[in-house]
Amino acid sequence: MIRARDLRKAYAKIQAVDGVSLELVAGETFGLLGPNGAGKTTTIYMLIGALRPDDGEVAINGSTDPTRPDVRRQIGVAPQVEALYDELSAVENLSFFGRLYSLSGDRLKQRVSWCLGLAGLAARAGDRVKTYSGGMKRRLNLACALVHDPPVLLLDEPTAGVDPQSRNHLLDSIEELARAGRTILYTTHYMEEAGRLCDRVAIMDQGKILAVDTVDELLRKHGGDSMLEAELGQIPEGVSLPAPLEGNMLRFASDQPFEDANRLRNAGVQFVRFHVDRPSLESVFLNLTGRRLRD
Amino acid sequence: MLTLTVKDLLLLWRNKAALVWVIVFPLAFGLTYGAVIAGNAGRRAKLGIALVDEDQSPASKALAARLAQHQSVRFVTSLADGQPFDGESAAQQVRRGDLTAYLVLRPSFGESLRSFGQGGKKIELGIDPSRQAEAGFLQGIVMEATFAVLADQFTNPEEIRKWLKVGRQEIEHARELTETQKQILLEFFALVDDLVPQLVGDISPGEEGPFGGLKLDVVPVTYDLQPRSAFEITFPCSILWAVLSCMLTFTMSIVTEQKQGTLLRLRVAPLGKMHILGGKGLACFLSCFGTACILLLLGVTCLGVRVSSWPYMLISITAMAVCFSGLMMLLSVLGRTEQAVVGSAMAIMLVMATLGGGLVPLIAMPDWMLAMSHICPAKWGVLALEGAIWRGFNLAEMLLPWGILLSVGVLSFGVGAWILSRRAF
Ligand SMILES: Nc1ncnc2c1ncn2[C@@H]1O[C@H](COP(=O)(O)OP(=O)(O)O)[C@@H](O)[C@H]1O
Ligand SMILES: [Mg+2]
Repeated sequence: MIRARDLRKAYAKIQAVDGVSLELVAGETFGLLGPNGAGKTTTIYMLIGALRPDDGEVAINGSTDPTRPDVRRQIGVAPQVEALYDELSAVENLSFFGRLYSLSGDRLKQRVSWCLGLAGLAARAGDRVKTYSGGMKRRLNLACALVHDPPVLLLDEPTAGVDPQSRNHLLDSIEELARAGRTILYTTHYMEEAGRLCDRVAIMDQGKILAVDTVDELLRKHGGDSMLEAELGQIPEGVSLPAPLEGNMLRFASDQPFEDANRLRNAGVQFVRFHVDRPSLESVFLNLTGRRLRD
Repeated sequence: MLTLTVKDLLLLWRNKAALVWVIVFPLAFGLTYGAVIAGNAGRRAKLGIALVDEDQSPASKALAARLAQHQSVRFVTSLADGQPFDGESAAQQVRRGDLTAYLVLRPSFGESLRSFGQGGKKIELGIDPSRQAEAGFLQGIVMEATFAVLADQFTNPEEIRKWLKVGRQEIEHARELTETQKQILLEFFALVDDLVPQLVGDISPGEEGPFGGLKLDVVPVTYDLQPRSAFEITFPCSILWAVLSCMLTFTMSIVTEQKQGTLLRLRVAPLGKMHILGGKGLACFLSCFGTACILLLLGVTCLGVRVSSWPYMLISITAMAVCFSGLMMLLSVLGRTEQAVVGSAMAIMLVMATLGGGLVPLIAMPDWMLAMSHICPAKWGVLALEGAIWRGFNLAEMLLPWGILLSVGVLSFGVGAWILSRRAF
């Protein structure tokens, strides 16, 4: 559906995107996870033809020219900034963007009200955008990418800086869109979001993609071991523990924490409490770059 | 493209602050400025001049009487307390700015008039240095009156004979002339003396005599249609302000759209970039045109502004709208941040308004400023409007400002659009 090969883009001194290749198959939700400045936005700009790559190639649905009108009709973009007209209402914004995609009449009305419903803005549809809260603007920003009902969505940090409630609403909406079969490229620097939404995730840093895979595979390959922490009761003689006891606390790393815990229990070790820290995308990033995701 | 234009116009309509700048401010400007000019017109009609007649001869009295007839001069001969002026107190009044000028006719002014100003300065004209605009004008009318008095005397045979006598005496006493020269001149004078009755003959004094050619005719430059009200003078400036404000508003809207990201949405929509830029340009054009028309209608219906040619007026407004829509595009690429663009656009707008006569009337501009105003499209815009209001331009005269406006507009739109599309697309 979307294919990029070896995209490169440099601003004056910074190599913002440094050889990015990715491929999205139809219907999948693909996450681009990386810290601020990783080059996610720049990559999206090149994918939609808003920025000419210094090098490399983009193909969308087989067409290598993303500026072609018929290609553009298939793509919906929600920019990282709230790209809305503050002086217009939600309905007016949606209608305007709809008309740009040559929607009109009943079809336009129908799409606009669908979008308002998705964004949960039906009650405030006639108010000017400048009177909206940050979360409402974010939801409308997403909705404006959907008026023309595109099969492909490029969402650039759609939840940046919103309250938890709006975030949940947004994530629910995106899950719904994904279920409806849309192909979604989702950039974020929140690993929980990538983990929750995305079929596959690309880890991006300093203009390069470091790893691409399903979340589970990434965790398995790069996440490292889980940490098991347990408070033990009675320990029978002769049972060897995987790590020395600290008081009655046992702490050790393992790639199979539950199997290990089970084996100890079968040997007669009593667990008062136990707690497993599974590896996260955060630790994947840490292992790949040596840095934390949010510095 | 129409969708884009409608959206921009709607945004302008919703933006109350911009509306104020686009309509209310220019209107207020035209009204107050017009009122100021209208108020001034009465006062400015008469320049206060202190007259000191130290000669008290028939000639000096004739000159004073002549000057007093002039419609733009008001003579004052005495101080407020009734004390007549002398040279010094008159100069004092001018220095204080109470009067514009003083005129001293020295003793023997009448005599010197006969001898073509021999015997030193007999007329002293002192003018307030801050009234340079009027200085030349005053010198002109004093000269004119002096020559008129002189000419009057030439139509009177007695006066001519007196004058010839004085002339002959002057020649006889002149040391710098050789004897031969003196002889020739004296013979010439004798000849003229004989001819005088024939020359002047039955011409009664005051009519154009053969020496009437001495009269300096100062003909004021008039137009077939002179501005009837002060608002006719200020309305082109109001329209200029309105159009400049539109230009600034749209310049800002381009930068805002860039910053807000809505331009990105436009760019990823299935539109050509020329559609996007054209939509902006069209919206700017329409609002320039619309506000100009609104102001014009207000002027015509409420303030008695007469338009001498409606077709020319419409073309002028169109040309102006084209010009400033083009400049809008050029201005929008001046900087990358909102502040930079707005700042420089503001500065340019002020310069344009100034050079176009929006702040300093063209009449009060120093030469270098006038010269600069020739390269300022705002000036041509105002000229095009005036041409259709009260200057009564004919087609050929209108073509120059129209041509300049249109070509500036098209050119700057092209350059601006080119830079913008290279930068942002
Ligand atoms: N217009 C620009 N001019 C110069 N540098 C830019 C521009 N846009 C982005 N950059 C730089 O390119 C790098 C990648 O930016 P971006 O793609 O926005 O990252 P992300 O979206 O992942 O936060 C950053 O270092 C940023 O400073
Ligand atoms: Mg970004």
